[in-house]
Amino acid sequence: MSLDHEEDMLDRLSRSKSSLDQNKPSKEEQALRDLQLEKEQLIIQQNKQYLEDLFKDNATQPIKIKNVQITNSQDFRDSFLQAQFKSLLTTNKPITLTQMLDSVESVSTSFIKLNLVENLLVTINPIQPSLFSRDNGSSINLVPIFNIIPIKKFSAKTGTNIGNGEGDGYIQFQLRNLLGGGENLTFDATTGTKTKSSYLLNYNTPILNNADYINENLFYINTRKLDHLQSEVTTQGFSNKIYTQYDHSKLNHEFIVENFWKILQNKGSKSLTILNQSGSQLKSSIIYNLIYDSRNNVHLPNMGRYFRFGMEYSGLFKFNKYPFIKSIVESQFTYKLPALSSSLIVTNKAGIIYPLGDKSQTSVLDRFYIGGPNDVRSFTLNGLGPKDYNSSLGGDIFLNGGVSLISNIPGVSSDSNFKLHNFINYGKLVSMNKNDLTTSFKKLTNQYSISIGFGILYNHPMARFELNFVLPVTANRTDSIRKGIQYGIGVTFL
Amino acid sequence: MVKVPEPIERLFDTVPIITYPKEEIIDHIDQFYFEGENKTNDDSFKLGVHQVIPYQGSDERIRYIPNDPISLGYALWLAHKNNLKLPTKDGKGQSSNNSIIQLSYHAAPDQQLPILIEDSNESRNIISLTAVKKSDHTNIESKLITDLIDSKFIDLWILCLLNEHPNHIFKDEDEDDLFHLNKYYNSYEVANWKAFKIRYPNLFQISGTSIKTFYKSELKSFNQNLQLLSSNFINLDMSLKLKLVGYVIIFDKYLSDTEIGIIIKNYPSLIKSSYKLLEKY
Repeated sequence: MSLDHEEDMLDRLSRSKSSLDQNKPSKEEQALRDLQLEKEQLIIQQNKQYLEDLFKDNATQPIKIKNVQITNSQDFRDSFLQAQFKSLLTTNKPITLTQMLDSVESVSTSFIKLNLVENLLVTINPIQPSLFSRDNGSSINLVPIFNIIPIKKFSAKTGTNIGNGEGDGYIQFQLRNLLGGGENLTFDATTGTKTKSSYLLNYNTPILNNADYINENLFYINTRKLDHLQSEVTTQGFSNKIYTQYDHSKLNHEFIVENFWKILQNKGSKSLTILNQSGSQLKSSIIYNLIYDSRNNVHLPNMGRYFRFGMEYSGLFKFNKYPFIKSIVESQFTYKLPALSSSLIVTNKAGIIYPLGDKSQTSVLDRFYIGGPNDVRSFTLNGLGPKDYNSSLGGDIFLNGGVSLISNIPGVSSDSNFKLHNFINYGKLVSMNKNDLTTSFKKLTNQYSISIGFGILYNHPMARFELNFVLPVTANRTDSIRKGIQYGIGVTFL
Repeated sequence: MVKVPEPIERLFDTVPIITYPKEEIIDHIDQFYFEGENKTNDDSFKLGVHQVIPYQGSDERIRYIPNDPISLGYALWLAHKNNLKLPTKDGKGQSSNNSIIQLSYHAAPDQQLPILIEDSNESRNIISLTAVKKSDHTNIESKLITDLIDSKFIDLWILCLLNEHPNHIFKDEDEDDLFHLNKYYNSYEVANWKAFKIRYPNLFQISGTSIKTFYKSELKSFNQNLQLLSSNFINLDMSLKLKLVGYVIIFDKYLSDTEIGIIIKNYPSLIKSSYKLLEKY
């Protein structure tokens, strides 16, 4: 038998081409397969429609939640569970089926959002009303049962991160759901292309057991190479962040308090600005971000809009060496172009940093930097704006943006993550003279660095990869230009 | 080697189609300009030091001098060599192309000051002045004294910083350092100056007492050396004289409560000669 099998295999190998031809379905077979697939789709659609109609017809059906049950709940605090099930248990009065389903979904989303469950399945069990019940059978008594598989409390992992133009390796220890209320403690040690060393302790917890509000506290020590400044910066400090993650709204808020001790070490720069600003500086700032995000994909959207408005104030305390107020606005709009099997992404960013107090200048560590494969393409990373002896000094005001046309590759399925990419980018970064704001703003109205290009991109769930042929159309004399092939890896792109 | 096809090369040569002028840098840096001839050529130097402090001499003239002994020695030597006078304006007016600027030691290539920033046409050169270098004196006596000042005295200055922590000399300490974070960091960095930690590893391996004991023994030999230098001050080479003046003035006027300051007080004639020499510039 075994020999037969081998012969069969050899046969298959030797007759690969002809057998391939034989395996190719005939026209009729293909039509039959398509018909079967269509039939399956129709059955799924009908079932879905049936359930939707059933829920629709009974949308106002009075329901009474008698109690809520949860399996594997030993890892959670009672107060935390009570808070999660509050929407289902607050009233003793009957609610509609729609209201009940919304509440069940909201509870499930809370568990998923806080990353507390590996799997969650909800079953709804009807129970008979008691003999002494006074509702005369007008409402159905139900008991939702949440069957959960909790996440592992402790995990340790190693891996790699890909950021905007950099990559690193990390080791991470995680203690999740530490006190039974969604509290997480994470320790990260990282080393990479730009980060010489980084140690990060992150403690985050939902505020008042509410998954919509998260409090995150970070303590860190890191040393990063800043190639554009030809320097290295060691940062020690902590930041406290409160942010929202609403389900019912696309609008979210972030409030951050940052406290740092930074040491800028010159590693070969000859710029007087870098020499002068090298050394120790304490910084304490408060930041507010307003974010609206309705995009269907963060890395490569073809639907939705993104808007961010951020404000940072550093100057609450006297020890701030370079006090400032900073503002940044970002927007991204996407448009579908079905006639071209493409989508258009229009991105714009602008920012301003204004020095406060007696200082007439801002720190090179707080300024804006633009240019690079993820930003204004065809320029090197942080390659635009004022430069001194090859050190990019950054700027106080900037405006940049781009239009990208993302198209399907001809002959390749539209579901493919590979796409064609055509773009035009522009950007301008200038220093600000505190005593002559008009001239500073005037500089922003002309002489933009503009680039064009085309290429191929791959949209991976974790990051976007681009390989483009790029050309600068206009540039400033000090801009660091890149002509020809440029590749970009990252999570945010112009 | 792969050759770029001609059409692509032509395309690369064409772009960018328009090139605009360079972006202006408007960062202002306070500089204390040496007094002297305002030369029109582009050659200039800047002496990077920890801090600059005002010094009022017997002639009532306020001069701005570096606040550490090594930098003051070099400031005087540069003034002497280039026929300049010490800065008299607090960083506002420009009276020559050459200046003194206040920096953190983190700005220096080897994390130690002073540094000399030389500008010539479009190029800039940064030289660490405390870097180990060979003496160019041919006279054996001058050579030995140079070695004494450039190695033994600098070691003593490092020991003084490590034992007595006069942290106010550093630029960052001058800022409102609320938490005195720099104090600990400075001690760590100072130990690496002039490869001190590598040359004396045993001082950092045992408890802190060994570094104190070593400091005391070095102070004794400093006293003996100062005796010799004081008696021979007039005969010293000008570069050595000015380097010594740097130590005498800084320890007599600004660090008088340190052990070195107390020793220097025992040489009034040397102190007098030093002030006299300083006020020439």
